[in-house]
Amino acid sequence: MILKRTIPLLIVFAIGVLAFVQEFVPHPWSGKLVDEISTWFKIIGGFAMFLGTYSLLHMHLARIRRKMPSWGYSVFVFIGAAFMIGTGVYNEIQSSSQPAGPNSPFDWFSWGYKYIQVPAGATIFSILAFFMASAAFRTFRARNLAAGLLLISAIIVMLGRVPISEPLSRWLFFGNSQAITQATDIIMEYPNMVAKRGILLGIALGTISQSIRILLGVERSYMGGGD
Amino acid sequence: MPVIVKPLTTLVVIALAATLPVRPAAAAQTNPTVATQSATPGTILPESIPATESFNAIDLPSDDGSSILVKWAKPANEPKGISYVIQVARSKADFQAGKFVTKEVFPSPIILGTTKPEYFGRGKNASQTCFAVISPAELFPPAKPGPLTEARLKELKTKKVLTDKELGRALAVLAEIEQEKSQTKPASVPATAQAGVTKSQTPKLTSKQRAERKWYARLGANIKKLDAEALTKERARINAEPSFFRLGVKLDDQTILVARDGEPIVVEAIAKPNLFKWGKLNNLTLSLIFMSAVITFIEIARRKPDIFIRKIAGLEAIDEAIGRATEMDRPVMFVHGGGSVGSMSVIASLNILSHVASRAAEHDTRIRVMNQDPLVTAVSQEAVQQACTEAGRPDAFNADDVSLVASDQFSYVAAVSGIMVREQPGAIFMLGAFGAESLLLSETGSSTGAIQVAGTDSYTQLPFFVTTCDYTLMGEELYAASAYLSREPRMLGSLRGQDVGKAFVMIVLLAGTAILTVAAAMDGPWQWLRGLLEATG
Amino acid sequence: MALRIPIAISKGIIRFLTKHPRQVIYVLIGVTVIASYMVNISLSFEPSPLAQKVYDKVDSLKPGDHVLLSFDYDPSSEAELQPMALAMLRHCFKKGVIPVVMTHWISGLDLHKMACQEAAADANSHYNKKIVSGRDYVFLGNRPGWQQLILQMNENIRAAFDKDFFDQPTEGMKALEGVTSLKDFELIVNLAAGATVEMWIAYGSDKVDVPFAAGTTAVSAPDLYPWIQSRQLIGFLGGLRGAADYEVMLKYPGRGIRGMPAQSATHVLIVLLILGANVHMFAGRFFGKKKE
Repeated sequence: MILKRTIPLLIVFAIGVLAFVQEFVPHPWSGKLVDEISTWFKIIGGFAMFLGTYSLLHMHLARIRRKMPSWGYSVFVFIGAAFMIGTGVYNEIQSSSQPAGPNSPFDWFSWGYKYIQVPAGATIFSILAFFMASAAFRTFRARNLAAGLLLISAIIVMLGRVPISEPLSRWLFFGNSQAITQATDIIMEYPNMVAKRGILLGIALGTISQSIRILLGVERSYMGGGD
Repeated sequence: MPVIVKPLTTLVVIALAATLPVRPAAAAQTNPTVATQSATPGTILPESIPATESFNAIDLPSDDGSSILVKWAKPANEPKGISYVIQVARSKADFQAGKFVTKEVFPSPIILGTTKPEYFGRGKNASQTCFAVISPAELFPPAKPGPLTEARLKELKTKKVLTDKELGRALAVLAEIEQEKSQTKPASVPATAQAGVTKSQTPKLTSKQRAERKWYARLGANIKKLDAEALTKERARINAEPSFFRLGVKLDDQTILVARDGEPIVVEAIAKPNLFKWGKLNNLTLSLIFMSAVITFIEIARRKPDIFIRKIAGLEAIDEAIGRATEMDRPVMFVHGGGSVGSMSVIASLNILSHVASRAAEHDTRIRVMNQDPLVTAVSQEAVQQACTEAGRPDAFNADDVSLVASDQFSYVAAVSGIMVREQPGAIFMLGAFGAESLLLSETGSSTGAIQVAGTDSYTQLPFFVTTCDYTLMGEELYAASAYLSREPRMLGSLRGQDVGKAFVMIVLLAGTAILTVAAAMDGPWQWLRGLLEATG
Repeated sequence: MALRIPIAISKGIIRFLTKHPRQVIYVLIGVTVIASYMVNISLSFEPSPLAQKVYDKVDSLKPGDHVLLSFDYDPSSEAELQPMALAMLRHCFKKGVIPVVMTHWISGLDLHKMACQEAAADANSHYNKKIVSGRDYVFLGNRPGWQQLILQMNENIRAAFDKDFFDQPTEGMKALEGVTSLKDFELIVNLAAGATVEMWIAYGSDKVDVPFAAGTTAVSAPDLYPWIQSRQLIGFLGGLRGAADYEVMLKYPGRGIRGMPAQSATHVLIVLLILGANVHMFAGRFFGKKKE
């Protein structure tokens, strides 16, 4: 119980208080403490990567072994991991005394990044455009006053964010090409900000309250087990 | 409903408002020290020289001991083209010997004390005080160690930084590198070369040579680190020694030093590390007030556990969602989103995960937890396992169902979306920190027909969740989940303390706005209150 | 009689749209975007005032001044932020300002390196300037630590980055002459796909009192208004439109300007779809009441 509960809570409390105090202390020792904690943070982060990789590969290996539905996708995990890890290690061996960067010759690791990772990431992100359109189509219905106001604001902001708002504005507002853009800026700077600030304040205070609960040991979910 | 309390601040504000008469706004004062041209161009008049008694140097407050604050009163006449020169030396004798460094400061609003109220306050004097911040170690920098040469390596051996063996190895590699440099010629840059890149021909190295070069690079990096530490110590030593200052006024080629009885005044100061940033006192005060409120209500809740908390629809819907998934014989999916285990939203979502896992185990419904962070994966596995055990169903836990999916944002999205479409969950919980993937996940989930409960403190993603999910927990509602679901009195007490803090913030915002509006036109105690309210971090 | 066929066709289309709205919307969006790129449309527009402030700040710098550019994005946000990065780098090279580039996002390292090298090559061809790494710009690469890294840079940038991305030591590097810490920069700019803007303000620019500007994806751009109002941000570039604004001011067309017709067409299409859906909803209510 002491190892599983008391000692972790004491560590959390001590480090939490130190971090809070450090914010108000300009003495160089305070800076050194920050450096030391950040170094340990980097070390722990490195170990965490091993944990995650093991979990991922174990799960997919189990799926392949048991021939679970869609186990074929799991094979790609290993192919991709093997390719990138293999080429990365090979590069490291080859370029040991040569500096990296513009002098380095062609390597498969960069090729994999540039022609597989980059386009794949951009592709997934670009799906957002389609999903945004379908979500907007489904949601923006003027069922009541509030929804109607939301609809009008959304249309103004959507149009105001693109260059086509200028000729449209000129046509609709008697030659004033900036009317829609200005309306967009007003909506973003005032009613939008009012709502955001309220939510932000709530989140900030909630964060402080949750931090106090964690420091005092009232909140223990981050330790994993139950009471 | 938040408990409304009357904080001390409100009482102070009301008392001050009642006692102070309202004065009409003072007419704008003309600056008595507006710069005017001197009678004879190029001549420094006596009224252009700062007063002798006003020239002073002190340790810069609230710093790490690396700077000194030199201040002087703005002279009555500050003609165009004039500048102030601060001469800095390591001893009084150095001034005679000419061993001093000169720093020139040009008159402008940024050298006036009004820009640093944390040092000069907010009184009238601040606008008549000039200052400069001097760091002795920057003006008298310690000698930087040179590159790694044979002599340097031998010196390091003498200082016992290197052993005999290491010295031998390093000298051998150094000799090889020198030989290569003398033999290698830079090749002509081909047309296809990237801009900013020069290529040179380097001879092929054996694997042993490559290993030695790697060792030498590591040695160089370690020595650099030691050098950097030594430099830092040396700078601290220079800053900790007394520094001597003289102040002068310069116009064209003429410099006149501030003097008394014909002797230039020399002031002395030592930079000392301070223990507190006084500019952050108001931050500390407000933080402590808020923390006290939370802790007080936690204690009150221990004695009076019956605390009202309003319904949060998203949290009430958890049981309904799991029940629906059970009826449809489909799994429950829990999506953590990004964020590490140190992130508040992840900690909050872990509470809900325990509850969801427990309910799912009771109903014999499979739960799949999608993680993006390795540490969160480990904690989630523990949480789910514990929840299953407490529900009396330890066999329901499957570690492969609580796994790391991908660390990259959009790889995670692709994987989770694919799993959603293939496994067709009956209920999807998206709780944690989300970025652009929020809409992708929620729209995919919506297309499967699952009931969706989302919660995040990433307020940019809230609109997407609100439009596509059945229930959304906004910001602090997610943080309140642990208290709401457990109904533990101490946690509910902390929520009550949070509400009190929020009420306090609202009152201070209103009062502060009123005070700042009035203080813009009035002097006296209003300025002190204004200082208390304005953050000067 | 003559109207029967068109009415029947319309009803059929509306039935299909109602049954398969997602698929139709996806096809329409796809066709609109592709067509906008294939047809050469030029749209003239005025840069936004906030983008103007960022441009003016960089334009006011003198040759030899240093700007810290923190490129905190990865391939998923490349479409919006890479054009911004290129435009800012080109501007720096044009002015003779020295950009010091770094990143917190290790997954975007190659992208950021490509941006530096592409902009350097462009400066060669457009402004007749030979840009050399280590002399005219520095690409420091990535170090872990996030806030801790910024705090370390507040003290000593060479301690935070002892080498640049190309393994050249920062000690004695010409491009970093006169720069010891963040205080020595004239401007800090963060191009962010995540939440690094707040981090840079809290731990960086506010602590060292250096002007700070940002560029973000369009989704995150609304978040930056509070920082503008509190004057902790001098200006920002929002999404592809921000990149296009910068390119217009720089008079160097790039992917930002090229993307504007597609973005405009897509937004107009979404507005029309929303209006159509609302008309359909109201028409349904109206005709439903009429039947009763």
